[in-house]
Amino acid sequence: MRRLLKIALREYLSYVRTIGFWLSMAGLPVIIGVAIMAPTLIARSAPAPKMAIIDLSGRNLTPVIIKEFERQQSVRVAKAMAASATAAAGPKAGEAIMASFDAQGLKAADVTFMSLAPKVAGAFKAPPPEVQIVQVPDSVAAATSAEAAGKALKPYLADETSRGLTYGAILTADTKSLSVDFWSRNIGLQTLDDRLKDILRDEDRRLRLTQAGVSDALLKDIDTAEPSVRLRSPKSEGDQVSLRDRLPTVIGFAMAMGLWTVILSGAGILLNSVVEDKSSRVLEVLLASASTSEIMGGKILGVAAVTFSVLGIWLTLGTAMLLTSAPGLSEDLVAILATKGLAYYFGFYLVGGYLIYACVFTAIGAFCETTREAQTLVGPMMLILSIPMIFMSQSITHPDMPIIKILCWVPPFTPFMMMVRAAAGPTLLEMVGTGLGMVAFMAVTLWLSGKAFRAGALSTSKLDPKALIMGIIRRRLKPV
Amino acid sequence: MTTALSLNGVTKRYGDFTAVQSLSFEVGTGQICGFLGPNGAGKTSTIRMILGLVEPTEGTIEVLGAQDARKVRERIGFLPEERGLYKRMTPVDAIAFFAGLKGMGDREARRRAKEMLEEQGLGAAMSRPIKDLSKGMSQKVQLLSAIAHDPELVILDEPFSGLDPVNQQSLEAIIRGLAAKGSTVLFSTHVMQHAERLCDRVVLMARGRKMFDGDLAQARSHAPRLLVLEGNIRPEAVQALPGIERVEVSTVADQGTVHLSATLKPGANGQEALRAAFSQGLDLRRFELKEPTLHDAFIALTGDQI
Repeated sequence: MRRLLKIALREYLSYVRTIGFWLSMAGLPVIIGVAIMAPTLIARSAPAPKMAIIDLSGRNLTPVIIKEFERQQSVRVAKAMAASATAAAGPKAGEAIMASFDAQGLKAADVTFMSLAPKVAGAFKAPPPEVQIVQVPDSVAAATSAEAAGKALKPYLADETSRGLTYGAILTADTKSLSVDFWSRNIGLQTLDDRLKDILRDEDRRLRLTQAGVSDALLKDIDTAEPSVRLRSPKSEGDQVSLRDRLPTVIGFAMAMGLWTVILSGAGILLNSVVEDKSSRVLEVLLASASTSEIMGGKILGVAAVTFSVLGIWLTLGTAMLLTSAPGLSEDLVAILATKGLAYYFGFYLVGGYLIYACVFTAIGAFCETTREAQTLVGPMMLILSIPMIFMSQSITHPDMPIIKILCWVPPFTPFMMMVRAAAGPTLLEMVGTGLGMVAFMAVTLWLSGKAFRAGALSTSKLDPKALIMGIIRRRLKPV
Repeated sequence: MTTALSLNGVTKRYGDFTAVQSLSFEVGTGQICGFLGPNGAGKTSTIRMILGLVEPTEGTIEVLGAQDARKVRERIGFLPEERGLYKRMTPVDAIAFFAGLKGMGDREARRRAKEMLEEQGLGAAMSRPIKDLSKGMSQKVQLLSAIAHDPELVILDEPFSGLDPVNQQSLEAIIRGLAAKGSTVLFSTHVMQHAERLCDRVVLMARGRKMFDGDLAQARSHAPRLLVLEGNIRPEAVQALPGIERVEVSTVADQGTVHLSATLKPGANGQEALRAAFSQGLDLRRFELKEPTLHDAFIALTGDQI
């Protein structure tokens, strides 16, 4: 045990003493932070794009369009309020704000926001409008045809003009339908023309129905009388399915993804470490100083300590960020992790999964003199490991799909698949059965990997899997 | 003298290939034993079996009184043929780490590492990463890693390979020092001069078989002794001298001077041949009795085995 710990300590220090370790440790949270903040920062820092509406339809459509964009902006603001309130005071606060908005509009939503999360509401900044509709330049407004308007509009869409228009919409109409020439400075922008099309289609519909004798009051009634859809499930805590009901599945998926990443990262580090020791002939010296199990155990423990250190630091940082930026969600998250037992499952599957893959990768590494050789052998393993990745995302929406249930019983996939399934409430038989299967598989993997590691550590030729398996079966190799 | 290492009928087969065949020998405590043989003779396989890294197909090995070297690995020091050290470690850390694996306490191991490095003139390099050291320096560090814990049995696989003459001399001094302190040393080599200078006894191997096991004098006795003669002489006259087995003419100089070497029969005395040469009035300018080297003995013992 003393030797095992010594090897583990050396392994651990050899990683944590490198600059690369600390750079990668700090790098990921920074990248994630930037990825999360980037869209908001870009949206806040960039001014809203400007759009001029050149209405040649004779139907005075500009106010209709302005009104609809204002309505859509209200929805965006309400959703932003709900998201902030959810982070600060939990999912119910967010749902309450949206309910106020649906019933009484943005002002009512704001009042609810102030009452449920006053601190956040005080500092709340509404997202900038998606588009700012500006006055049409005189030279463009003087145009009498779409072609002439387009020709006059072009200079304003070029970067060098001081007016700096991003979009120009030229509306025309004939007896049958409305047309839009949507001019855009940037070819890649496509979203607003679709939006405009929807607005004009609704207005055209309204106009035709009015001309056909349908009253404005009836039209308003039809528009507002949307069917009420309530989402219910026997697995939901309340009357309807809420965000909190959905959280466990999302958290389970996130944890499974984290598990996959952590386990594979750890196994990858181990593989490189063993290959390095083998190619530098340190492995033979180690074998003369410690037993196979001590060397393997030490390496696996050392790299586990590295991996868990990284995980621990990231979790601590994540928790600190969550507590400061979204205290309302953190309460729900902790409740879900505790009541659904996800934290315990994560611990169990982390240890089981790590041991399985760490042993396999360590044994593979013992047969390789170079990382290229190792990659050749690890390639098929990675293909197998991509299988749970494919199905893990499916299990968010279809946790009880037969294929997902079957994959849970395949021991190498159990840690990942059961982690996502755990949130959906699997049966006791499934939990215990797959758990026992994983532990049994882990024991067999440990035993076989120990034998293979020893054979590989002293080998000078390339791995011959057939000879290796036959050797183990014939018990030619005895543990050191 | 007690026995530090004993092999009895040891055979190692890898499939159809026999690496070591029925090998038996003993090394007494405190002895320096040379384990000699050309590449592929089975030396490394034998060393791995002694260390318990691979199991013999047949036979038994006793190391420091244990049937399994793994049970006494803390009392053994091992330098493998292909050197291996953690390149980013410093010499002090590396020596202390391996000494620690052999049971030394951390503080003691570091103190010992520094002391040994100073003794070997590596004091200035003790805190530099091993990757920055010269090959000779790295090999010294590796050797120190193997012996820092004062092992009772030191096994060195080709310790001199890759070393320059100065470092070879320094290594020989270390090996002598180990034996002087009571450690048993078994080292493999295919360079006979090192064994000749260092060993109390030698084990000669060829193609997996032991060809000889004994002390240096016994080994040399297997090689024929030579008389080197020079003068105005006829080979037939030399062949007729007592104790001469055969004569080979090396060169014939301009004025009839002949250089030749005469092989003595086993047990023959060179003095008798000299007396007879004088009594017969042979015109000799040189008469030299040349004792065989270990290399000669090796050639004689292995014959067509290499």
